[in-house]
Amino acid sequence: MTRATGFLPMPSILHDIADTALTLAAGFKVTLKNLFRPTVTEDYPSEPPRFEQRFRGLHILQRDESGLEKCVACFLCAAACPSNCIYIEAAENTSENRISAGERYAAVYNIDYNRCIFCGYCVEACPTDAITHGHGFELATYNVTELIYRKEQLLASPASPAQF
Amino acid sequence: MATVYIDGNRHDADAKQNMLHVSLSLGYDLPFFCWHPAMGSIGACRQCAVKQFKDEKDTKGRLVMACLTPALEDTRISIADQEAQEFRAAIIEGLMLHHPHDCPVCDEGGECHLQDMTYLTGHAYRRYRFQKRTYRNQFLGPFVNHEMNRCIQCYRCVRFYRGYAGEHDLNSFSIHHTVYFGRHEDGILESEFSGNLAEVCPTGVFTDRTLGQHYTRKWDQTYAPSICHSCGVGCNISPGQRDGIVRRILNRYNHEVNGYFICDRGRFSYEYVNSPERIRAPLVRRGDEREVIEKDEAVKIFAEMLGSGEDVIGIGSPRASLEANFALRALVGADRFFSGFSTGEQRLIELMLSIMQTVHVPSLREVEACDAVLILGEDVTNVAARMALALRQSARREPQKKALAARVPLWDDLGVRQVTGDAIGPVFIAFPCATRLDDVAEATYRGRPDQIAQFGYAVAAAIHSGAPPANTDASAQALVKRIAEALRTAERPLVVSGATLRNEAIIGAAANIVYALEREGRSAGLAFTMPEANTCGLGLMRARALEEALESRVQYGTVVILENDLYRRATAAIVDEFLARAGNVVVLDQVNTRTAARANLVLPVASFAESAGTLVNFESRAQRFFPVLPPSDVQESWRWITDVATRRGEFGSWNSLDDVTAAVEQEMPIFRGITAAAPPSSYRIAGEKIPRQPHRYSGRTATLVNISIHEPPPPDDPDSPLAYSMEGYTYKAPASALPFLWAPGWNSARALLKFQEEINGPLRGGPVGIRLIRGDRRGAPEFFSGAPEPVNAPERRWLAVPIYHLFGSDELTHWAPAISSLAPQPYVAVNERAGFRDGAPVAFQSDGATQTAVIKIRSEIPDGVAAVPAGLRETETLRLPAWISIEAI
Amino acid sequence: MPSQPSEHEVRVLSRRFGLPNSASIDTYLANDGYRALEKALKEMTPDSILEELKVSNLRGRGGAGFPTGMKWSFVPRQSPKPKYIVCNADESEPGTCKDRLLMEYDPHQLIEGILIAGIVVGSHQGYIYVRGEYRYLIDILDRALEEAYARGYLGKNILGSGFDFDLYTHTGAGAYECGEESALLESLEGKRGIPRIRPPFPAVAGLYASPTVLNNVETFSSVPPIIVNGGKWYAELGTPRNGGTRLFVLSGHVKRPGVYELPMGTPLRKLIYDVGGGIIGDKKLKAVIPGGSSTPVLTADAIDTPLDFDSVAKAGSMLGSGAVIVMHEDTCIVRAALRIMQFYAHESCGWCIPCREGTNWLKKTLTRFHSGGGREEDIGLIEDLAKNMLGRTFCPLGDAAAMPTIAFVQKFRNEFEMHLAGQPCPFEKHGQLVGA
Repeated sequence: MTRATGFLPMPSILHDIADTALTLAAGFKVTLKNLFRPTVTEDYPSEPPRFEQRFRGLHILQRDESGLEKCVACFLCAAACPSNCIYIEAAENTSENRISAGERYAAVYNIDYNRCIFCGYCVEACPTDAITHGHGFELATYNVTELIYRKEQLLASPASPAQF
Repeated sequence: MATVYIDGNRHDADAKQNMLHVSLSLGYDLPFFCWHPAMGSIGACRQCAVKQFKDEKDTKGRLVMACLTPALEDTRISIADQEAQEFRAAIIEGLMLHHPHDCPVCDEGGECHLQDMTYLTGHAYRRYRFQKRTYRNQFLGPFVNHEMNRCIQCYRCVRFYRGYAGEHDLNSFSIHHTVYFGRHEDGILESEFSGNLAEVCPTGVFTDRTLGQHYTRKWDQTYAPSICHSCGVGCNISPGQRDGIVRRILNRYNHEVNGYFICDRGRFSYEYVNSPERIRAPLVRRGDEREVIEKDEAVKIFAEMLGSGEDVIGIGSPRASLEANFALRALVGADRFFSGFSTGEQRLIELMLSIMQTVHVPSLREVEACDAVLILGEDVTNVAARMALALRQSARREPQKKALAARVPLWDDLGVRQVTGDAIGPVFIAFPCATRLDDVAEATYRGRPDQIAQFGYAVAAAIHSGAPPANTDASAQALVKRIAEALRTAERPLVVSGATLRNEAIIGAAANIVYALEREGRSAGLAFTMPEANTCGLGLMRARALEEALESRVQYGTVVILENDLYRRATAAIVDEFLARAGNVVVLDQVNTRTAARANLVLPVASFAESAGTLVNFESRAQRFFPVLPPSDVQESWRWITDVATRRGEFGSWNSLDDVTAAVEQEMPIFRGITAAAPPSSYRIAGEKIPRQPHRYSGRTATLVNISIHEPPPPDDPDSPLAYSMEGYTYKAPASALPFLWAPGWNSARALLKFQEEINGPLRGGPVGIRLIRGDRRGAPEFFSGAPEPVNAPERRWLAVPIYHLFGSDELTHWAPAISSLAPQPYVAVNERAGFRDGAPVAFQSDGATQTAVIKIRSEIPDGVAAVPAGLRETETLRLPAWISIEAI
Repeated sequence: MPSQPSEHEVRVLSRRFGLPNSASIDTYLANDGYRALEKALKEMTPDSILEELKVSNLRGRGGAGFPTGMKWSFVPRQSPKPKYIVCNADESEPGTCKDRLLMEYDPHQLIEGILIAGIVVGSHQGYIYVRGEYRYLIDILDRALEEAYARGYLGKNILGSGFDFDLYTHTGAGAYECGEESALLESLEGKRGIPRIRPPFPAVAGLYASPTVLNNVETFSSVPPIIVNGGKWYAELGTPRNGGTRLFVLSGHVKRPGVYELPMGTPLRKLIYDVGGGIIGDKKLKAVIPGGSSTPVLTADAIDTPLDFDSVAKAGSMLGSGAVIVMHEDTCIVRAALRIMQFYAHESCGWCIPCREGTNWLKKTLTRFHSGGGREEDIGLIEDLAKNMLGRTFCPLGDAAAMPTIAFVQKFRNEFEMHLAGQPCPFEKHGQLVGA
């Protein structure tokens, strides 16, 4: 053990106490430093988690200002998907039954989260900003068939035009 | 041949072509819009600009349009030249000023020539900072959708519609940057080829309206090489499906048959495949009820009904494949197999087939090259529409010779039309009523069928003195001489006839004209239209005539009816009696026909989209079609028959289509070679089957997740060399097994040019179809003798002749909504001298049965003739021609 | 009314303009009328007429300046089809109004010229295709035709010579493009007025796919004086390769605008200052458009250019239709370019892409540029768009729109720059400037 120079020679018991205190201080340096810093630990699941803006979670199918679905069933997300997990069936809008602002809307929109790799290509491909990544991530289930999300599950609620 | 230089590379080129044609044939990527391989150059879009150099010392060069530059000896162009590239990008920039960029909602997106060309030129940055112009769209009928804002004004639509297909209700309007393509007012497009606009248009102005109703992208469809089942021309088609729903039909290029275009009946016929009227499961009659049963039970019941097989007969069908007819023939025995042709039709078809052995039957490509045509007793447009489109081109051949004489090359469409004006070549039509080809006819002859036969015999006699003479009326004499002269002096004369008028003498007369020309040392062609997809194939089987069974009075134990509605073949009284007489009636069919409704057992049969088989077209070309929909309980007729035969321990070695096709070939020598019509199911490219799906096919793992999340293996297909999969190679696939066209950078239908040996030439990868009749017995066939005696019309009686309607007369398309919406209501057409008012309701008597219809006045119809539409839905079948009386009601 | 005659004029075509009732056949006959026809029918052969025309060095007055005698000699003598004479009276080039006077004041001279063309090529039928906006001229022409038929100058067996000729008038619907000869033929056949491809040329396959002679009103009207007085006489009126006189239309900022008949080769200076009486308000000359709106502008430096086809070409422009538009120092060149482009954007036929999209884009860009919304890069864009039309369009309309635009940008770039930085047009305070 090396001893710090510059200390006056002291009785060994005092010396031991000082030595212990110094050692403890060195050992708790990080702890003590963080004692006075802001807390970063989240209390999830006791509290809701927080996300970075660009976190790529469960998809949301957005609506426009007037509440219409933004998706015009162009199939570009499905074409861009590297794991082939997006399935769409298109149907035509009519003046009586208008779902989206385009000629067509997605009558069926399934995402198979067994296969989705959250790469964001679908969001990149979307020409109408209809599909976006939300912050949902709690996918765990006992039944894999429940990982097939339907349009009803993906769609933003009509009340709030944009969600994340 | 000429030596040309493209970007410094030396090539041999066809000196009769232009440099765009040459460059594309050689595989260079040169963008274009207004040029079309079938319609030539007009120089409107300026997209194919290249730098041309005078000689090897010239480094400056000048910009020219490749499509207007002849491939003369020592022509030097540069596609890669900087200035040319910049100009081509500037052209796209100009097109993009007003194009809406609505690719995501556009049906053409992903298979758009404009998208491809934009990428090819590299234009990306937009300098235009003003508003786009907009247009009003039109309603153009059930087939074609109109979205004018996408238009880039390449003029291809009007050039096809007016210049190629000869119809007038689509035109270009207005000037400068507001040029508009449409009709003078909203309305249904009149051309029977309007659907081709969807493929001719380089972008999404004209799109397939039926596709739009169940839209799926090009890359998401599963395709198969198929043959159109709507008439006897045998156009090659490429149906596309997704999720078990057929979405559309695309033209599949076959340079000998349909080339770049198909008719609207062919293109939109697929809708019946999706019809709720389809039979999807076996049905058995128990008392008054019909019950759905399992497939195995159906086979068991079928086997039981066949019993010992002693008193079983089979009735074939001209709309079923060779394999289906052959399987039934094998099941019941050749002597108990009846053809299934309409009353009186078989004799005519066998006559036509025997004549075809002795003459040259041209393919449609050859028809287009003919320079004098006589159409004798046939309404080609309504029976074989694609042939009519080819004949329309024949009418331009004679005038085009003037253009060649004026040294205007034929690819120079504007120049040729300037020299030829509106001139038409020698095309003559003899038919009781006006036909849709009359506008390209130099002269027409109207008469009763017997008069038309007389007329034909007279033409033959005027060509060659050895032909039997005929008594034709004096007024027609001059026309007879004119036609004889035109045919005799033509380089490639052609006679077209058919069985529409049910007149044997007309067919004999058509043959006599060709024989007469051959005796005069002329090489002439003779084409007979065939009304149904496999009329020719079934005819070649030489089965017994259906009338024999219908009128035999024999008590049959079981009657097996293959894909045939007997109520369309004979009068209701005869069929009722026949079906009542039979112990059991087994019907194999696709839709719930009137005959199927009377059956004890109905087996669901695959449509063209679900089945594989071989069809023989009007020129005896055997062509194979393959299924686009995966296998299900709805299976091919031949498979049902094989199933039941296997159960009974008969011909058990048939496991796939190849086995049946091989058996047809072995059993019936006339069909020698049909196995070579397409590659066998064992065919592989690099160990893989040919994929039916493009490599971009999306949602593969998600498609069936609502049933099971486990992705099923692709369905097995034992009958074809194709797989229901994205894996494999299409680029080197044999032409007859090419499901879809796609080449790097060429996503639209124009990808075709990457699959052709040269532009307008055959596809790479072998023959498409096998000709069965080769006119081997040419030489000096005997003339048909005995021009029939003219008939005198009884007082107040009319000779009813059948008139076909492209939309309405075909059986299966009754269940295709778009086509059936254009079918006419029942009518009787007579001239005004008959003393009826247009639109008056009448009743007419034929074969003891009374029918009602409305009068249609058509002044060109000769006295004593009444034209009655054939084969309309829910009308009684008449035995025509027949003398009828018409009473006002 | 025709403009007041000037003492500098050499009046050959226009010599009957001032006469009372000049359009009537009586006036015409009293002043050498139909003497050329009589001479052509009785004393000359088609070959000798052609020879006279070649000697006269008459070049087409429509704009391209192609030698007329040569053009007529291209028509095949033997033709299974009828041959046609078509007179292009679709005078629509901005700045040009000479044919109007020829038809209004001397229609019989035109009829006589067409008849002589018929004799030369062996044609028996002709059409005068009159611009839609000149509808009132149709009445004058039809009356003249009626008179000519009544006196036996048209119809069967003209002047007892056995020569037959029928002449009809036909109006266009007011499209500039139909002044282009092949589009005119399309229009005359009842089709859309879009240009045709060449070859085949009209002399081989023109109207109804038949051999056709197609010339401008002024060209046909020049023929009778040549026949009467001889080709040599006519040639000597002009310069060596540019025979005769022509009607110059002087417009813009001159004191005496009007239509003046001057010998070919008259210097521009003489036309503006002597014939036209100088510039309004005695201001400085800024620019001259020498041959109708489609020709490149000349700067004041080119004032001594002789007005014949070759000299104007050497100065970097074209004599075109002989419509001289004068602009003085207060003229806004951007506005002038805009006004011209407005015309071409409206008249582009819509056949080929560079012209159809280019003219409209240029019009919009120039409009905004002139009103102060231009950007530096717009100057380059304007030049770029115009260059993409030059020589690269299907018909000359693209060139017609491109040539003046390029010249304006290249020769007056400083004026374009003056419009930048959001400033309003610096010339606007002077009120209405060029054109209308």
